[in-house]
Amino acid sequence: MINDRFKIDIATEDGVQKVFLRGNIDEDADFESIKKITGAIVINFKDVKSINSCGIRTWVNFLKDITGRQVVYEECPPIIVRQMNMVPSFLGTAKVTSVYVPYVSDETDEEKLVLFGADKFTAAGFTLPETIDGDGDGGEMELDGNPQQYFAFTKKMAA
Amino acid sequence: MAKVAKKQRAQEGIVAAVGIFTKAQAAKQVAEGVRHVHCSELGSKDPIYVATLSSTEKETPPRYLWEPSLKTTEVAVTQSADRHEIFDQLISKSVVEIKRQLREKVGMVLEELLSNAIFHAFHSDGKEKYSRSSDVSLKSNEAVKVRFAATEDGCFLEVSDTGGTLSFGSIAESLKRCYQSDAQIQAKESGAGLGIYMVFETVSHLKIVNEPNKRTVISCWIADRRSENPKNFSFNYFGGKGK
Repeated sequence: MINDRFKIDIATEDGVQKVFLRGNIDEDADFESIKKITGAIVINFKDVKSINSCGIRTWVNFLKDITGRQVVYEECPPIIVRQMNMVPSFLGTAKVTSVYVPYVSDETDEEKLVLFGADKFTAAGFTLPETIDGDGDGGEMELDGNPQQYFAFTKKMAA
Repeated sequence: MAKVAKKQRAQEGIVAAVGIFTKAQAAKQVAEGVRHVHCSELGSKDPIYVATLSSTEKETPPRYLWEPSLKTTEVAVTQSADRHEIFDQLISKSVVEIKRQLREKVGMVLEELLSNAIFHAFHSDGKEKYSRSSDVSLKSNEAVKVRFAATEDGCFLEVSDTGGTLSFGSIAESLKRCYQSDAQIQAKESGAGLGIYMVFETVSHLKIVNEPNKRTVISCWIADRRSENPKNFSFNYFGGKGK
């Protein structure tokens, strides 16, 4: 079956080869091309739109195939963070260097994803701003969710 | 776990439990055979729990407070390839704008419920009739029906199939594996065995009505995080006696 819902792009940024996953990860997703990369495998999840249970299994099986390699997750959107929390093997031994955190304005319903580096979230705790300035005239936006739950995966990373 | 009330019957053991649970604690109850598990600060006075107990006496599933009595958008699905477009179709008809996080959760729940219904609900000679590794065209009498409604407080979603093979035992086994063992994911060729767990983790209220070999109707309420009492949840399985 041709899979036009999922795409992998590999590009070099600052001398590091990065894997950009784009679209919907499901049972038809194929990660074979990633195995050709030498050195650390840096996965950028920014453009992942959805992932289903069979996509999770496919990814976890891929991680098993590359056991022993250094794996880094970057720019993880909430959809990926939820999987890391729900299915610990989705994270495996990967190191997470940045995640998007959702903020929302109660006044205007404006929504925004803000990227934070790993210095803001560790197993010991998190130092995220409770509120940020909105883009519009709505004033402050507040963190949309419980940070304890959102960053539960950091406990697994530290283990 | 505090203030847990349980309803017991001589023949069936504990049929319902209400109290303050985490999802993992609730799943443990289900894995032990409890078909109705409610998390509510109101305890046994919770109206959803009261409606459940009343219905288990009558053996007819209740219409819960979270089930819309007003208009829902409905679609029928017969092609597995179409399932990726269904959610966009449904939300395009919604007059309420659904927040990103809620939209993503509803999309995930719909995908899992639809996949289960299309690929795993229909059996022939004791085996699953359709394969996950190929495009599936259901017969017209096998069409999977989806109902959807969005409000300011959350979304209602219902997926029904005419296979009627989702047993309580399979749900209990799935939740036990996903919450209580390190082997969350099944290695078998068909499903990953995670779908029901992901749905259970994500939704606020889950109601499953099963008429063996006739139909399964799964309806759920996915509350907006900022709605009232977002921690309240319930699981209810009706019908399909035995494992």
